This record gives sequence, C-alpha cells and structure tokens, in this order.
Amino acid sequence: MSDLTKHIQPVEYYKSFLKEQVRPDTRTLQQIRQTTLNVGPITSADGSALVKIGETMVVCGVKAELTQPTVEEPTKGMIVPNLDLPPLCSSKYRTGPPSEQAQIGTQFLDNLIKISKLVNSEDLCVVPDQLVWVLYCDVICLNNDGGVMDAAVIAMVAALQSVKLPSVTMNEETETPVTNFDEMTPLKINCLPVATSFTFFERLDNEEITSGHMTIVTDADDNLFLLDRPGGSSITDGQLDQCLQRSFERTKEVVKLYNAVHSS
Amino acid sequence: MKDATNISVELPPTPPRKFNCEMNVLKNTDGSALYSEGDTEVMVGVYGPADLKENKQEVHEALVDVDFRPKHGSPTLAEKYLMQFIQGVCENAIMLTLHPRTVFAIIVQIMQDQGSLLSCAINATCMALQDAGIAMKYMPVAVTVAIKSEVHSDIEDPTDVIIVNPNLKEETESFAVLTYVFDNVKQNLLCTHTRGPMLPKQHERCLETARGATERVLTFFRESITQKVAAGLEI
Repeated sequence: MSDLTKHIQPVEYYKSFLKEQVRPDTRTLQQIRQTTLNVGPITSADGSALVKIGETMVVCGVKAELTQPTVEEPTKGMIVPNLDLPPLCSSKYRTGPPSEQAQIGTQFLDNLIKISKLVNSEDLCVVPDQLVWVLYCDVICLNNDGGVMDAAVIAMVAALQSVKLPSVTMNEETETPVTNFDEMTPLKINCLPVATSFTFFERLDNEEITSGHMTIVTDADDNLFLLDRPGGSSITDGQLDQCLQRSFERTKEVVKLYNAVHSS
Repeated sequence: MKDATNISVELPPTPPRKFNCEMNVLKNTDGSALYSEGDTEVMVGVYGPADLKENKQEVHEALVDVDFRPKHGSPTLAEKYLMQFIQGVCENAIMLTLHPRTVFAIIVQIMQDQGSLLSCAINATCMALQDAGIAMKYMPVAVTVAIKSEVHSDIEDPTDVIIVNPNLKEETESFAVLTYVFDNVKQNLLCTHTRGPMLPKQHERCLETARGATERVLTFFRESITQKVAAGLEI
C-alpha cells in the first residue's frame, strides 16, 4: 500500500489492513507495542520512571514535601497526581492552561490512586495533626503516539515504587522538623495496577475509523479497579469479555516488568 | 439472584427510589427536563441544532457541547471527568450527520447529589433531548449499581449484595460502584464507568443486574413521554 493512499483515503487504507487482521505497523489486532520501563532517570527527584510504549514516551517524577495535614484527616498524607500534555508531545495541544484531555487524565490518575489504595495514606504521616508527607506525582508526556494513559499509569506506579523517604523527627524545642537522609525507608506499595486501552474499529463504512475507547485497569490478583468507556458505539458482552481477558494477560506481563526493574 | 456457588444475593431496592420527571420546565431552551431519581435531582437544558462559529464548525456532522455544572462554583476535575461520559453518550445517540455545521449545547445542572449521580444525569439529558424533539438512533438508559459485602446472620461467609440505584450512604458502604449505559434497541453496552476493586465475576453479575434494571427506567421514560403528549393534546 503506497503512502499516497494513506493520506488521500485513510479509511480505505486502514480497511485493507484490517481485512487481513493486521494493522499498518504489522501488529495483530490484540498485540500491544513493545514496552520499556526505566526507573530513576531523574536523579534530583525522590522517585522517577520513564516509560515507552512503542513511540509513546512518558516520564514521571515524584517530589516529596512535608506539609500540615487537613483538619478532617490529621493522620493522612496526600498524593497529588498531575498529567501534563505539553505542545511538545503532539500538535494537538497548545500552550496555556491544561487541555481538557490533560484534566481528565489527571482525574483518572487520582481516581486510580484512591480506588486501588496504592499507598496507605497513614504511612505518609510523620506526626499526627502536625506533619505529613505530600507526594507530587508529575507525569509528563514527551511523545504522544496513542495509549498515553497506559504509559502514564505504569510511569506513576513505577516512580512511586522507587520512592525512598528520609526519616523525620520533630525538634521539640524549636518545633521544626529534622530530616535524616541517612535513614531512608522505601515507600510501601499495596498493589501494582496496569492500565490497558482498547479501541473499536467499527462503522467503517462511515468516515470514522475508530469508535470510542475503553480503558481497563487491573492488577495481578485478578482485581478490576476501573473500567471506563466514555461513549462510542455499543459493544457486546463478548467483546467486553475479550477485552477483560486481554487486559489480565497484559497485566501479568507488565507486573513482571515492575518486579524486574524494582529488584535490579 | 442466586447462582450455583451461592455467594451472591440480590436484595430488592429497599424501598425503590422514586423517579420523577418534568419536561419543558425552562421556557428559553429548545428542550429541558427536571429529572430526579430518589433525592438526586438534575436539571438539563438543550439548545440545538444551533449556530456555531465558522472556525469551530465540522463539515460532516454537528458538535456536542456539554456543560456539567456542580451545585455551586465552577466545574472541578471530578465534574469534567463525569462530563466526558455524558458527552460520549450524546455524541453517539444523536444523529449528528443530519445537522452538519451546527452545535448541540447541553447544560446539565446538578440540583442535588444523593448518589447515582452519573446515571441520573445521563437519563435527565436523554429526557431533555426527547423534549427538544432531537432525532436519536436509540434511547440510552443509564443504571447505577453498587456492590457491597454483608455478613448475614444465617450464613457465616460474607455475601455480595448488589444494590440497584444506590443512595449516597449505600455508595460509601459499597466497595464498588458501577454505572452502565445501554441502548434500548439491542441492550448493548454504550458506556461504562466503574470504580472499586472487584473480581471479573462480580463485574459480570453487576452487568447482568443492571441490564435487568433498565426495564423499569424505560417504562418510566415511556410513561413520562405519554403524559407529556397527553397533556399537550388537552389544550
């Protein structure tokens, strides 16, 4: 298939590949691009990770700060995720306030942390009512070639996994915190969630190539954390089952990656 | 619903939350609905197909612009996240190709949130679209279910209880809250939003329960529209 067809008749171009159950980049329909995970590329951060899924590249840095807890929850620390989709990663985005997609992505990461109970918020407490840790997880997309949320979740979890917090004591006379960087304790992570995104090739006779996407977040213990499909054409139960099955398979592969990187 | 392994029971909603829908409540909009499920109440106004700035126009179809407003203040990230579900459902249900170069502006205002907010908002939007007389491929029906474990006195093991249309208290007690949107033609899944750790089996059971619960909502839709039409005939 020539490059010309790709630009003049994108739907026809895709259709001809899908008929043979492959995609233009030689992948089969269920095949996920090669995933690489690199932990600790940012030495100045408290924890960091770089993830590549095919051409998509996402980096996450975790910054730990001490702060006063809220009055309602005096023994709970906080994790504040933020997804940034700068103009650098795709021509779709402009400079200025975060795009709607970035805001939705940020909320998705926040939901994920709360639902999966990724970190016990009590673990982040130093002195109840006075001092807790707040972990800022800044996830930045460097290259957007699809599947950003999948990469963002892996990057955030791997970055949090690599966080080491110094021990903190309160100086009672001056009432100021004293950090001891010789005693570093790794952050305890409760589970290793993995996100898998799907899209559906439907209504091909129409102009659209794909119709809506679906993101499934699962962990290796068969837990289903999130299953979001914001619209798109309707899907059958068979298709849903197929997606669920594939995401559990995918999770097993990525968890191996998490563990391999963490132990080395 | 009792299955072979006997780990799941379904209680009838206690008591079932009352549905209420008033259409054509706002005079300036093309269609509007004040819709409530139990104590959760949502007001929706629809303008469309309306004019759109030239640089934003789509040549082959209409745009859908959803504004999801919280009770007070401007929308936060949580509202924006839920908004994408309403927008996704509308984009698929409305026959957009009939009205190229126009926009459907949908304003969803939360009046009171007492649980099952997303399904209530989606159902309210569908009623407002019906009131505006906008051509749709099918009628989307949203149902929220919650699943919680409960220790029954007669059984030692904790059992999973599935609650249809949970209120705020039931939602916080549950370990998972799931919202499904089905089309009324093939009963296929249009859109889903699920939260909470659960096993695939539990998810399957919730999906089945939710699909069973759509009938009640659909009947209510039909009754509301019949009432509206009947009221119009009298004048």
